[in-house]
Formats: sequence, structure tokens, C-alpha cells
Amino acid sequence: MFNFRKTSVNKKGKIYDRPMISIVAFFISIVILTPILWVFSLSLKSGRETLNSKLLPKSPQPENYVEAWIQYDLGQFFFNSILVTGLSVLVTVFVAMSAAYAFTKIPFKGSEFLFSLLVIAIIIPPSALVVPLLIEMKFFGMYNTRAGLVVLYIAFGLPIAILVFRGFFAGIPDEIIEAARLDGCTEYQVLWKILAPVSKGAIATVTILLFLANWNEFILALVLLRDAENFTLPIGINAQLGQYTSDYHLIAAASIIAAVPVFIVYLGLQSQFERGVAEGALKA
Amino acid sequence: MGSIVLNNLGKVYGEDTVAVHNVNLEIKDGEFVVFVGPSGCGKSTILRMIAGLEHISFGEVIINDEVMNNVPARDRDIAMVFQNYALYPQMTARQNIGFALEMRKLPREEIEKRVLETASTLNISELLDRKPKELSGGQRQRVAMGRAIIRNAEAYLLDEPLSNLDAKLRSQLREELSKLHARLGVTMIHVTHDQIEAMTLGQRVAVFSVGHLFQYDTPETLYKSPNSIFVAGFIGSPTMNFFEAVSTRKASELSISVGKRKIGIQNYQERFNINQDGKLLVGIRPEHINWGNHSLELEDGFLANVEFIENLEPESYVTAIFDDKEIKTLSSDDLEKFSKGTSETFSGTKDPVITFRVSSENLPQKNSSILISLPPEKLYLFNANTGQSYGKEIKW
Repeated sequence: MFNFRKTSVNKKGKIYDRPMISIVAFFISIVILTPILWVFSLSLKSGRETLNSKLLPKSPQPENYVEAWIQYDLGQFFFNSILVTGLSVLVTVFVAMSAAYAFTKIPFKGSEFLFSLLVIAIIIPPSALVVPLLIEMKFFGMYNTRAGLVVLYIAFGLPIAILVFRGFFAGIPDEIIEAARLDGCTEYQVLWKILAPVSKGAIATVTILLFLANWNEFILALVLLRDAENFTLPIGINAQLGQYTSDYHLIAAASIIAAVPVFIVYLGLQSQFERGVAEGALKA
Repeated sequence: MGSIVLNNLGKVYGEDTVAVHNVNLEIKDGEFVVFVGPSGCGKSTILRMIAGLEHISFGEVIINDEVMNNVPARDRDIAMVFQNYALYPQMTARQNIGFALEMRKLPREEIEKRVLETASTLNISELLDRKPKELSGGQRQRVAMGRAIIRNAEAYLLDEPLSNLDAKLRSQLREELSKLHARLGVTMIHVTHDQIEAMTLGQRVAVFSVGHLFQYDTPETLYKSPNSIFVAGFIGSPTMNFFEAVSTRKASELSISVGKRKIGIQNYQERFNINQDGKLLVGIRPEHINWGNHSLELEDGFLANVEFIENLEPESYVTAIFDDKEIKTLSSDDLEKFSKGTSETFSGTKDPVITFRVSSENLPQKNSSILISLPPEKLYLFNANTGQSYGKEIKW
């Protein structure tokens, strides 16, 4: 006889099988969520209350958000951030997919060597290159331009993006690509008509990783942008910190506003992202 | 439709790993040719070179009198069915089948019409809206076939398309493939390691081993006039029996000593090109061996003991061991050496063994002593060093 009941009890009881994991996860989430909640609470406090250490504001002031938006001209920073991040992510994904396709499916001399160079590029932090990059951008006339920032974000995003796509493409059987070539596809058609639709998980993964990194990027933007009209959100908000006084509640509200697009992008791509991770998009 | 000529075709991997050696072969327009050989013999590599999926190290691939060496795969107008089917996972069966036409920018109505026609030919009309993961192995195979035959390609290449299917489905699809070729009349090259598939499907069969083309002929000729010991051993099931022997010519008779016995072949010049006496290899197919009970008198009989009976219906395979231990029979290892070209020495089997095919209604008793006769007119003779057949080439 089959014992169905026993199986179902086991399934139900699964969550209690690993209490240690649940306890650790709980504490980690507290550590991560506390600063977010603290900033959120600060964003609802009045100017006087900001230095009060109590967590909850006496009377929440949602109008802080409107005030921050208008006073800090967040619209312009927002536009710049979307332009720079959106463009850099788009181009990086496009170029990285093409490069990863070539690295995995088109054998050519020096492929391995070139790929090793790319991997080395991942280890170098952008902050270490700030001064030479500044000189370079000045030389090319791209200092204090959003285009210059886009170019740098693409350059720093490409290695990791190629690494992720390469790992994902390697798992796709060569025969599918060969079949497409025999069906009359050019290499670009193979990539966009055959590989791209099956790589949604990897595309979502790379998009989220790059969006997060570029949206929040600070050092390069700080060094390369001089005029407020070109500032991205992190620099724009940072510029509101005065030497002697600051409206911390408004800066907190602006920070929360700045974080919203990241949440939206993540929520929009969440299911694809999770599938991508499960399919090994993060394994190189 | 097109004719294909392989001219001195070769493939070298790395510095000096030669996978395909100077293959010369011609496939006529509308012909169904099968490439057969053991795993790693280079047959798939040749197919891929024809398709343009593999770089050609030397020689030429000529399709319809045009050298194709530097023409990319997509411009060769070749359709191919892959061993693992290689269906596009994100597309339905309908989209998979119609994709090649879509790439050729045919009107939507025309594509739909041809997809439906193809699906009806392959009996998959009701599966068109399913994705590959929702199809069984046999259904996927049909969709993969559909993707190929919907095109009016110059040639259709089938790379072991039946090898992932169970035996029953394989035989059913083999028959369908044969009918399909008869109906479409297109040039097809089918690659397989299964000699039954090769013999039943091919109008001509090319037998390969370690990158060499051993023989390219009709299935009947391969069976009746193999040009080498490798082809003789590869074609036919159970495999041909081989013995070491010594030949002596006397006028029109060739006397062959196998162990202590002698077999005389009359008017041997009509069938064999033998110009010297000495060591050679004798082959005989299991279905050509006569046997009788010990009490029966058989001319030139060999005494043997029945070791093993593989019971099949309606015919069974009997394995017996000769009483005469001087007889040396070749092992599968020895045949393997010949598949690589030549063999200097033979390890032989532990006991002199022979396998023959008999009607299951008339089986000898296990462990009984029997007499075996090897009819001289059914013997094949091979050079003991090169494995080349001494037989005169007879076209069947």
C-alpha cells in the first residue's frame, strides 16, 4: 500500500525542517531592512524632527517628497540618470550578447586569450582608474558630458555582462545554431532570432545587475560631471549636502525617490531573473 | 535537387590528427546514399563538411558542379536533420517547420500552405501548435524532418536521425523515410552506424572506418562482393566468420588448408585474382554454412562442438568450437586492426569458433558434436596482410 499521508506531512513540515536557516535569514533581513526603514522614516519627518532618534515620525509628512522633487530639481537628475543608465545598459547588453556569441559559438584564433583579458578587466575597480579616465575623457572632449559617462559605464559593464552571457550561451547546443545557419540565418539573425528568445533569463539577469550598478554609480559620475545640468541622481542628491546645514529629511525623501526605479526594474524582471539564476545565467 | 561530388576531401584537426583521408565519392541527383561506419569513423564530419558546418582542410565539396568550399552554410541550400533534432525550443512545431521559408521571405500564406502540406505528409498536423518540449521523441523527429523537407533544397542530410528512438519506432520511421524519398525523389545522405539501416535505406552505401572510405556501392554488392575484410566483417549480422588458411594453386583448382582439412575451389580464376601460394584469410557468412549431425556424412566436414545457441525466431544463431585446435579464427580485435588499414599479426580467438545461422525449427543440441561444411562456392578470400579481397569485383 502507498502511504500518501506520510508524504504530505513531510511536504508541509518542510519549512520547520531547517530552523537554523530561518533564524539566520531573519537576522540578515533585519540588518538589511533597518537602514532602509530608517531612511524611509526620516523622509516622513519634519525638519525639526530629523535629529530626533525616535524611529516613527510624530506626524508623517508625505509632502516632503514633493518638496524634495521641486527644491532639488530632481526631474533633471532623474532624466539624466534614466538617459545614462538606460542607454548604457541597452548598449552593454547588445554588445555583450554579440561578443559572448562570438566567444562561444564562432571559433576564432585568440578567442581564449581575449576572453582572459576581459576577465582581468572585471577585477580592476573603476575608482582605481579615475585620474587616467578623467584625462582621457578630457582628451576626447567628453569631460562633463553624459555621453562620456555612458561610454565608461559600457566599458566597465561589458566584461561581467559578457561573462554571464558566455556561461549561458555555452549551455545552448551548437546544433540549434547550426540548424539556424542552414535555415538561412546570418550570424546576427542566429543571435537575435534564435538565441535571444531563449536567453530571456540571462538578459534579465544582466539588465538588473547593470541597472543597479549604473543607477547607483557615484565615483565616476562625481569626477567626470561638473555642471548640475548633467548630474545623475546620486551626484545630484549628494550636492544638496551643505557644509554646515542640510535638510536631511528632504535628502532622505530624494533618496527614496531615487531608489524607486531600481525596484520597478527588479519587479518587472523578477520572474525572468529568477529563472535566469536557476538556469545558470550567473555561472560562467 | 543536386548532385554532390567529394573530391579528395580531407579533414585535419590541430597539427596532425587526420579525421578524414582523401575521400572521393559521387552522389547522383536524386540518389539516397547512406554513410555507415563505426563511431568516430569520420562519417558525420564529412556530412558536416558538405553542409558547410565544418571547415574543409583539403579537397573539394562540389554541389551541382560548383565548388562549395568557401560558400557559407546558409548559402549552400542544404537541409539537415540532426541527431538531437535541434528544434528551436521557443517556437511551436509550426514555426519550426516554417522558419526556413520565413528566412527566405516567402509570403505568409505560402508558408502556411506549405507547412500544412508538410505536416500532413509526416502525420503531424495535430501537433503544429505544440512546442518541442511538449512532443515525444518520435514526434520531434518528424518535426525535424518537416523542417528539412519543407524546403526545396539541393540535398537533404540526415545525421543519425533515428538513433535516439526505440527499435519499433526506428523501423517504422525507416520505412517512412524510404517512402518519403521515393515520393520526393530528392538527393539524400543518411549517416548511421547501424548497418541494417544502411542496407535497407541506401541505394548506395559508403562504408567508412577511421576516416577512410573503404567501399561505396549498392547494398547487394557490399554484401556479396566486399572489397576488404573490414567491409565483409562490418556488413551482415551475425558477422562473417574468418579463418587463417594456406592456399596452393594446382591448375584450375585452388586448394585451401584450414587446420588439418583442405577445401578445393574449382576454376578459382573465375572468381579470384590470386597469383601466389601462401597464407591468406578465408571468410564465410553464417547463413552459408551447412551442418549435420555427427552420424551424417558431409563432404569436407569439420567436427565441432555446439557451445551456445542464441534462440531467435524464425532463425537462430549457433556458435560452435572446432575440434581441430590448429584452426585459427579471427577475433573482433583482429578485425579492428584491419579497420585501421593492415594487420601484421592476429591474436585470434581463444578457441577456434564459428557462428552460423539455422532455422529455429531444426536446431542442434547444445554440447552435441556436429559436422560443419564450408561450401567452396560461398568462400571469400582476403590478403592476410592488407585485408584486401582477392575476389574479382562483381557488380550486383
